[in-house]
Amino acid sequence: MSRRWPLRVAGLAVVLLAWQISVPMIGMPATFYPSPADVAQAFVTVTWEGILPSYVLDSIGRYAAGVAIGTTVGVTLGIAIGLNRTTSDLLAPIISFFYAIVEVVWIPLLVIWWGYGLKTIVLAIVYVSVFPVLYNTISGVRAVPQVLVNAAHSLGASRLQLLNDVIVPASLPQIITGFRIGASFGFRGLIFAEMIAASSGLGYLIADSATNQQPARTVVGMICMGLLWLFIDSIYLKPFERVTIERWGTVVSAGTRR
Amino acid sequence: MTRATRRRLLGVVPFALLVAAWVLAPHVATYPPYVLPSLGTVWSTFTHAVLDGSLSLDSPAGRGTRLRARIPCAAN
Repeated sequence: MSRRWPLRVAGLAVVLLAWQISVPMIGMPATFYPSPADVAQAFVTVTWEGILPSYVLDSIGRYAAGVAIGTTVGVTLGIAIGLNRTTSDLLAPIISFFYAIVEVVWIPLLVIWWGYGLKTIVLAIVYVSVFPVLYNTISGVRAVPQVLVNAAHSLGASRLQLLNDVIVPASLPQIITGFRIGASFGFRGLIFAEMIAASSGLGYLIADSATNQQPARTVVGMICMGLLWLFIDSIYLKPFERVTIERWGTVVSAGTRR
Repeated sequence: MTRATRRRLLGVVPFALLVAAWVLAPHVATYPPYVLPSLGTVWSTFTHAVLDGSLSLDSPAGRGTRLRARIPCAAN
Protein backbone atom coordinates (compact mmCIF):
# COMPACT_ATOMS: atom_id res chain seq x y z
CA MET A 1 0.00 0.00 0.00
CA SER A 2 2.69 2.49 1.03
CA ARG A 3 4.82 1.60 -2.01
CA ARG A 4 1.94 1.96 -4.45
CA TRP A 5 0.81 5.48 -3.55
CA PRO A 6 3.97 7.36 -4.62
CA LEU A 7 3.84 5.51 -7.95
CA ARG A 8 0.18 6.40 -8.46
CA VAL A 9 0.79 10.06 -7.60
CA ALA A 10 3.82 10.10 -9.92
CA GLY A 11 1.70 8.66 -12.76
CA LEU A 12 -0.96 11.32 -12.23
CA ALA A 13 1.69 14.07 -12.09
CA VAL A 14 3.17 12.89 -15.41
CA VAL A 15 -0.27 13.00 -17.07
CA LEU A 16 -0.95 16.52 -15.69
CA LEU A 17 2.50 17.71 -16.76
CA ALA A 18 2.06 16.33 -20.28
CA TRP A 19 -1.36 17.97 -20.48
CA GLN A 20 0.02 21.35 -19.32
CA ILE A 21 2.94 21.15 -21.78
CA SER A 22 0.60 20.25 -24.65
CA VAL A 23 -1.54 23.40 -24.16
CA PRO A 24 0.96 25.98 -25.61
CA MET A 25 2.11 23.42 -28.20
CA ILE A 26 -1.43 22.95 -29.53
CA GLY A 27 -2.09 26.67 -29.22
CA MET A 28 -5.87 26.53 -29.04
CA PRO A 29 -7.93 28.90 -26.88
CA ALA A 30 -9.23 27.71 -23.48
CA THR A 31 -12.75 27.51 -24.93
CA PHE A 32 -11.51 24.57 -27.06
CA TYR A 33 -8.65 23.00 -25.12
CA PRO A 34 -8.50 23.97 -21.43
CA SER A 35 -5.32 23.62 -19.37
CA PRO A 36 -5.21 21.85 -15.99
CA ALA A 37 -5.18 25.33 -14.39
CA ASP A 38 -8.41 26.26 -16.25
CA VAL A 39 -10.01 23.01 -15.09
CA ALA A 40 -8.89 23.61 -11.49
CA GLN A 41 -10.37 27.11 -11.64
CA ALA A 42 -13.64 25.75 -13.08
CA PHE A 43 -13.70 23.13 -10.32
CA VAL A 44 -13.38 25.81 -7.64
CA THR A 45 -16.08 27.94 -9.32
CA VAL A 46 -18.70 25.16 -9.68
CA THR A 47 -17.98 23.96 -6.15
CA TRP A 48 -18.15 27.49 -4.69
CA GLU A 49 -21.44 28.15 -6.51
CA GLY A 50 -22.84 24.94 -5.00
CA ILE A 51 -23.51 23.42 -8.42
CA LEU A 52 -21.10 20.50 -8.18
CA PRO A 53 -22.09 19.21 -4.70
CA SER A 54 -25.80 19.34 -5.56
CA TYR A 55 -25.25 17.65 -8.95
CA VAL A 56 -23.10 14.90 -7.40
CA LEU A 57 -25.77 14.24 -4.76
CA ASP A 58 -28.49 14.11 -7.46
CA SER A 59 -26.43 11.62 -9.48
CA ILE A 60 -25.73 9.43 -6.44
CA GLY A 61 -29.43 9.34 -5.48
CA ARG A 62 -30.57 8.35 -8.98
CA TYR A 63 -27.78 5.80 -9.30
CA ALA A 64 -28.52 4.17 -5.95
CA ALA A 65 -32.25 3.92 -6.72
CA GLY A 66 -31.67 2.50 -10.22
CA VAL A 67 -29.06 -0.07 -9.20
CA ALA A 68 -31.11 -1.16 -6.15
CA ILE A 69 -34.21 -1.79 -8.28
CA GLY A 70 -32.20 -3.38 -11.11
CA THR A 71 -30.40 -5.73 -8.71
CA THR A 72 -33.61 -6.74 -6.96
CA VAL A 73 -35.37 -7.49 -10.26
CA GLY A 74 -32.29 -9.26 -11.68
CA VAL A 75 -31.72 -11.51 -8.67
CA THR A 76 -35.42 -12.40 -8.30
CA LEU A 77 -35.90 -13.19 -11.98
CA GLY A 78 -32.52 -14.95 -12.15
CA ILE A 79 -33.37 -17.29 -9.28
CA ALA A 80 -36.81 -18.03 -10.79
CA ILE A 81 -35.32 -18.77 -14.21
CA GLY A 82 -32.33 -20.67 -12.83
CA LEU A 83 -34.48 -22.95 -10.69
CA ASN A 84 -37.40 -23.61 -13.00
CA ARG A 85 -37.01 -24.95 -16.54
CA THR A 86 -40.50 -23.83 -17.63
CA THR A 87 -39.88 -20.25 -16.46
CA SER A 88 -36.59 -20.35 -18.33
CA ASP A 89 -38.26 -21.59 -21.55
CA LEU A 90 -40.92 -18.91 -21.19
CA LEU A 91 -38.74 -15.88 -20.44
CA ALA A 92 -35.30 -16.57 -21.92
CA PRO A 93 -36.15 -15.55 -25.53
CA ILE A 94 -37.82 -12.25 -24.61
CA ILE A 95 -35.02 -11.40 -22.17
CA SER A 96 -32.45 -12.05 -24.92
CA PHE A 97 -34.52 -9.88 -27.27
CA PHE A 98 -34.53 -6.91 -24.89
CA TYR A 99 -30.89 -7.47 -23.92
CA ALA A 100 -29.97 -6.77 -27.55
CA ILE A 101 -31.81 -3.42 -27.50
CA VAL A 102 -29.32 -1.11 -25.82
CA GLU A 103 -30.52 1.52 -23.37
CA VAL A 104 -29.41 4.36 -25.62
CA VAL A 105 -32.31 3.72 -28.00
CA TRP A 106 -34.83 3.58 -25.15
CA ILE A 107 -34.03 7.02 -23.76
CA PRO A 108 -35.78 9.08 -26.49
CA LEU A 109 -38.90 6.93 -26.06
CA LEU A 110 -38.74 7.17 -22.27
CA VAL A 111 -38.47 10.95 -22.58
CA ILE A 112 -41.65 10.98 -24.71
CA TRP A 113 -43.46 8.75 -22.21
CA TRP A 114 -42.32 10.24 -18.92
CA GLY A 115 -40.53 13.45 -19.80
CA TYR A 116 -37.21 14.67 -18.45
CA GLY A 117 -36.46 13.68 -14.90
CA LEU A 118 -36.07 11.05 -12.24
CA LYS A 119 -38.39 8.35 -13.62
CA THR A 120 -36.72 8.25 -17.04
CA ILE A 121 -33.18 8.23 -15.62
CA VAL A 122 -33.88 5.59 -12.97
CA LEU A 123 -35.59 3.36 -15.54
CA ALA A 124 -32.60 3.68 -17.88
CA ILE A 125 -30.26 2.64 -15.04
CA VAL A 126 -32.54 -0.27 -14.10
CA TYR A 127 -32.58 -1.42 -17.71
CA VAL A 128 -28.79 -1.34 -17.99
CA SER A 129 -27.99 -2.91 -14.63
CA VAL A 130 -30.59 -5.69 -14.61
CA PHE A 131 -29.10 -7.90 -17.34
CA PRO A 132 -25.63 -8.63 -15.90
CA VAL A 133 -27.21 -9.40 -12.51
CA LEU A 134 -29.85 -11.58 -14.15
CA TYR A 135 -27.49 -13.63 -16.32
CA ASN A 136 -24.93 -14.09 -13.53
CA THR A 137 -27.66 -15.16 -11.10
CA ILE A 138 -29.01 -17.70 -13.61
CA SER A 139 -25.58 -19.24 -14.20
CA GLY A 140 -24.81 -19.13 -10.47
CA VAL A 141 -28.02 -20.94 -9.54
CA ARG A 142 -27.53 -23.53 -12.30
CA ALA A 143 -23.95 -24.15 -11.18
CA VAL A 144 -24.93 -25.14 -7.62
CA PRO A 145 -23.54 -28.67 -7.14
CA GLN A 146 -26.35 -31.22 -7.21
CA VAL A 147 -24.72 -33.03 -4.30
CA LEU A 148 -25.46 -30.02 -2.05
CA VAL A 149 -29.11 -29.98 -3.12
CA ASN A 150 -29.42 -33.74 -2.58
CA ALA A 151 -27.79 -33.48 0.83
CA ALA A 152 -30.21 -30.72 1.90
CA HIS A 153 -33.16 -32.80 0.60
CA SER A 154 -32.02 -35.87 2.49
CA LEU A 155 -31.79 -33.79 5.68
CA GLY A 156 -35.44 -32.81 5.18
CA ALA A 157 -34.95 -29.19 4.05
CA SER A 158 -38.05 -27.39 2.81
CA ARG A 159 -37.99 -25.51 -0.52
CA LEU A 160 -37.50 -22.22 1.31
CA GLN A 161 -34.67 -23.64 3.41
CA LEU A 162 -33.07 -25.09 0.29
CA LEU A 163 -33.21 -21.67 -1.33
CA ASN A 164 -32.01 -19.73 1.74
CA ASP A 165 -29.37 -22.12 3.04
CA VAL A 166 -28.01 -23.81 -0.09
CA ILE A 167 -28.85 -22.22 -3.43
CA VAL A 168 -28.42 -18.51 -2.62
CA PRO A 169 -25.19 -18.92 -0.60
CA ALA A 170 -23.67 -21.27 -3.19
CA SER A 171 -24.53 -18.95 -6.08
CA LEU A 172 -23.59 -15.77 -4.19
CA PRO A 173 -20.11 -15.32 -5.72
CA GLN A 174 -21.64 -15.11 -9.20
CA ILE A 175 -24.55 -12.95 -8.03
CA ILE A 176 -22.10 -10.48 -6.48
CA THR A 177 -19.95 -10.50 -9.64
CA GLY A 178 -23.09 -9.75 -11.65
CA PHE A 179 -23.95 -7.00 -9.20
CA ARG A 180 -20.55 -5.35 -9.67
CA ILE A 181 -20.81 -5.55 -13.46
CA GLY A 182 -24.41 -4.29 -13.32
CA ALA A 183 -23.36 -1.45 -11.03
CA SER A 184 -20.63 -0.36 -13.47
CA PHE A 185 -23.03 -0.58 -16.43
CA GLY A 186 -25.58 1.35 -14.39
CA PHE A 187 -23.07 4.13 -13.80
CA ARG A 188 -22.54 4.56 -17.52
CA GLY A 189 -26.31 4.44 -18.02
CA LEU A 190 -26.71 7.16 -15.39
CA ILE A 191 -24.29 9.54 -17.09
CA PHE A 192 -25.77 8.90 -20.52
CA ALA A 193 -29.36 9.33 -19.32
CA GLU A 194 -28.45 12.53 -17.47
CA MET A 195 -26.81 13.91 -20.60
CA ILE A 196 -30.14 13.59 -22.41
CA ALA A 197 -32.96 13.60 -19.89
CA ALA A 198 -31.92 15.65 -16.86
CA SER A 199 -31.59 19.22 -15.68
CA SER A 200 -29.06 18.36 -12.98
CA GLY A 201 -26.40 15.72 -12.29
CA LEU A 202 -22.89 15.03 -13.56
CA GLY A 203 -24.08 13.94 -17.00
CA TYR A 204 -26.06 17.17 -17.33
CA LEU A 205 -23.00 19.20 -16.23
CA ILE A 206 -20.90 17.52 -18.94
CA ALA A 207 -23.49 17.96 -21.71
CA ASP A 208 -24.61 21.45 -20.74
CA SER A 209 -21.10 22.89 -20.41
CA ALA A 210 -20.08 21.33 -23.72
CA THR A 211 -23.10 22.96 -25.39
CA ASN A 212 -22.21 26.32 -23.83
CA GLN A 213 -18.55 26.09 -24.89
CA GLN A 214 -17.21 25.66 -21.35
CA PRO A 215 -14.93 22.66 -21.87
CA ALA A 216 -13.16 23.25 -18.54
CA ARG A 217 -16.45 22.49 -16.80
CA THR A 218 -16.94 19.48 -19.06
CA VAL A 219 -13.56 18.14 -17.95
CA VAL A 220 -14.49 18.83 -14.31
CA GLY A 221 -17.60 16.69 -14.84
CA MET A 222 -15.55 13.94 -16.47
CA ILE A 223 -12.98 13.92 -13.65
CA CYS A 224 -15.73 13.90 -11.02
CA MET A 225 -17.40 11.01 -12.87
CA GLY A 226 -14.17 8.97 -12.70
CA LEU A 227 -13.53 9.90 -9.07
CA LEU A 228 -17.11 9.10 -8.08
CA TRP A 229 -16.84 5.66 -9.67
CA LEU A 230 -13.48 5.01 -7.97
CA PHE A 231 -15.09 6.01 -4.68
CA ILE A 232 -18.15 3.78 -5.18
CA ASP A 233 -16.06 0.84 -6.34
CA SER A 234 -13.29 0.99 -3.74
CA ILE A 235 -15.28 2.13 -0.70
CA TYR A 236 -18.47 0.18 -1.31
CA LEU A 237 -18.46 -2.46 -4.04
CA LYS A 238 -15.07 -4.17 -3.52
CA PRO A 239 -15.42 -4.51 0.29
CA PHE A 240 -19.03 -5.63 -0.19
CA GLU A 241 -17.94 -8.29 -2.67
CA ARG A 242 -15.12 -9.47 -0.41
CA VAL A 243 -17.21 -9.60 2.76
CA THR A 244 -20.31 -11.25 1.25
CA ILE A 245 -18.40 -13.88 -0.70
CA GLU A 246 -16.22 -14.78 2.29
CA ARG A 247 -19.16 -14.78 4.69
CA TRP A 248 -21.80 -16.62 2.68
CA GLY A 249 -20.16 -17.85 -0.47
CA THR A 250 -18.02 -20.83 -1.22
CA VAL A 251 -14.77 -18.80 -1.03
CA VAL A 252 -12.88 -18.88 2.26
CA SER A 253 -10.51 -16.08 3.23
CA ALA A 254 -6.93 -17.03 4.10
CA GLY A 255 -6.59 -18.29 7.68
CA THR A 256 -10.35 -18.72 8.20
CA ARG A 257 -11.66 -22.10 9.31
CA ARG A 258 -15.17 -23.00 8.32
CA MET B 1 -45.03 -32.74 -28.43
CA THR B 2 -41.25 -32.82 -28.28
CA ARG B 3 -39.30 -30.89 -25.68
CA ALA B 4 -37.76 -28.58 -28.31
CA THR B 5 -41.21 -27.70 -29.74
CA ARG B 6 -42.59 -27.04 -26.27
CA ARG B 7 -39.63 -24.76 -25.52
CA ARG B 8 -40.15 -22.80 -28.73
CA LEU B 9 -43.89 -22.42 -28.14
CA LEU B 10 -43.36 -21.25 -24.57
CA GLY B 11 -40.78 -18.73 -25.76
CA VAL B 12 -43.27 -17.23 -28.22
CA VAL B 13 -45.92 -16.62 -25.52
CA PRO B 14 -44.38 -13.42 -24.01
CA PHE B 15 -43.90 -11.95 -27.50
CA ALA B 16 -47.53 -12.70 -28.34
CA LEU B 17 -48.66 -11.07 -25.08
CA LEU B 18 -46.51 -8.03 -25.82
CA VAL B 19 -47.98 -7.63 -29.30
CA ALA B 20 -51.50 -8.15 -27.92
CA ALA B 21 -50.91 -5.45 -25.30
CA TRP B 22 -49.59 -3.13 -28.02
CA VAL B 23 -52.67 -3.72 -30.19
CA LEU B 24 -55.08 -3.31 -27.27
CA ALA B 25 -53.38 -0.26 -25.71
CA PRO B 26 -55.22 2.38 -27.85
CA HIS B 27 -58.56 0.80 -26.89
CA VAL B 28 -57.76 0.92 -23.18
CA ALA B 29 -56.13 4.34 -22.89
CA THR B 30 -56.25 7.56 -24.89
CA TYR B 31 -52.92 9.03 -25.97
CA PRO B 32 -51.54 10.85 -29.00
CA PRO B 33 -49.98 8.68 -31.73
CA TYR B 34 -46.47 10.02 -31.14
CA VAL B 35 -46.46 8.52 -27.63
CA LEU B 36 -46.90 4.99 -28.92
CA PRO B 37 -47.37 4.44 -32.65
CA SER B 38 -49.74 1.65 -33.59
CA LEU B 39 -48.47 -1.72 -34.76
CA GLY B 40 -49.83 -0.95 -38.24
CA THR B 41 -47.93 2.34 -38.46
CA VAL B 42 -44.67 0.67 -37.42
CA TRP B 43 -45.22 -2.19 -39.87
CA SER B 44 -45.99 0.14 -42.78
CA THR B 45 -42.91 2.26 -41.95
CA PHE B 46 -40.83 -0.93 -41.94
CA THR B 47 -42.22 -2.19 -45.26
CA HIS B 48 -41.76 1.24 -46.87
CA ALA B 49 -38.16 1.38 -45.64
CA VAL B 50 -37.52 -2.08 -47.08
CA LEU B 51 -39.24 -1.40 -50.40
CA ASP B 52 -37.75 2.03 -51.09
CA GLY B 53 -34.30 0.70 -50.21
CA SER B 54 -33.62 3.21 -47.43
CA LEU B 55 -33.25 0.46 -44.80
CA SER B 56 -30.62 -1.42 -46.77
CA LEU B 57 -28.95 1.84 -47.78
CA ASP B 58 -28.70 3.17 -44.21
CA SER B 59 -27.55 -0.10 -42.69
CA PRO B 60 -25.65 -2.20 -45.25
CA ALA B 61 -24.66 -5.58 -43.86
CA GLY B 62 -21.22 -5.50 -42.25
CA ARG B 63 -20.47 -1.93 -43.26
CA GLY B 64 -21.80 0.01 -40.30
CA THR B 65 -24.41 2.74 -40.54
CA ARG B 66 -24.37 5.56 -43.07
CA LEU B 67 -25.58 8.97 -42.10
CA ARG B 68 -27.02 11.22 -44.78
CA ALA B 69 -27.60 14.94 -44.42
CA ARG B 70 -29.30 17.34 -46.75
CA ILE B 71 -27.37 20.61 -46.53
CA PRO B 72 -29.13 23.56 -48.18
CA CYS B 73 -26.70 25.80 -50.07
CA ALA B 74 -27.47 29.19 -51.52
CA ALA B 75 -27.22 29.32 -55.31
CA ASN B 76 -24.62 31.74 -56.67
